[in-house]
Amino acid sequence: MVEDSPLPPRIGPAVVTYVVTLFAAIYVWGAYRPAGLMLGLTIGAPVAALGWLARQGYRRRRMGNCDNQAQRAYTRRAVPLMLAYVGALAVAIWLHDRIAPTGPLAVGLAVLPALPLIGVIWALGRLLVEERDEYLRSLHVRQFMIATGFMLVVTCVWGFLETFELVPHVPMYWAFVIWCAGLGIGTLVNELRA
Amino acid sequence: MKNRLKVLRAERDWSQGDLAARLDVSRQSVNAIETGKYDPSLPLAFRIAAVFGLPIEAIFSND
Repeated sequence: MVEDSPLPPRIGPAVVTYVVTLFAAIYVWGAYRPAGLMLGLTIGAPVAALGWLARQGYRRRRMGNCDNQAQRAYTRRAVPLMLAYVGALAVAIWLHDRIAPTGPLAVGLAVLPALPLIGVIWALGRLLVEERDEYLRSLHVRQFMIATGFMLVVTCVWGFLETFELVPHVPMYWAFVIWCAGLGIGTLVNELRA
Repeated sequence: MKNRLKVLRAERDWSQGDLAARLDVSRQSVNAIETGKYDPSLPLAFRIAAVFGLPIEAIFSND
């Protein structure tokens, strides 16, 4: 019998560990200029975390959950849409500065960068519809629910802090960015529960 | 729910990947079902039963 790997890959914790150790190393380097053993630990921690991340990536490929039609279709849709978003944002800012539009043209130009992001939301919806593997679909649903909860908590708290003039105003499109950050938390929760 | 997937696989000398291919699901799914972390839907439970040639209650038990 082919050997089974009983533990699923832990991409989320590995990414979080790598980011935390990397930023900690940058902070320690800036604040203390370590030498000797401390320098070794400062550099070694993120390198070790990167090694762990690579190992988890290898295990994930072995689990065979990368070769998935629905996820490939999502990537095929989301990557061009994100590139279109960067392009639309650049065009909108450039035209806004050059021609200072008014009326419907100004509204159209302002909404332009939002259109590819609406496309990304559509692609995420299609991922749920097209995912044939019910277990993977349940993981996506939990991830999206955690992201939605995270976004609601952050925007709610920030909104009241803003009302009482304790924090600066933040444009509403940040809700989408916060939701995407929540997807990261959702991945982490999925992997910790798996 | 408890299940006998691991034993039934071992009897047939199938890996999780082999069973996943027969069920047309990911190996991750087979692992989650086998370890009791995910209860399959009724249609998938019927497919599992068909693959092993057993009734559902011979594979899954509610305790």
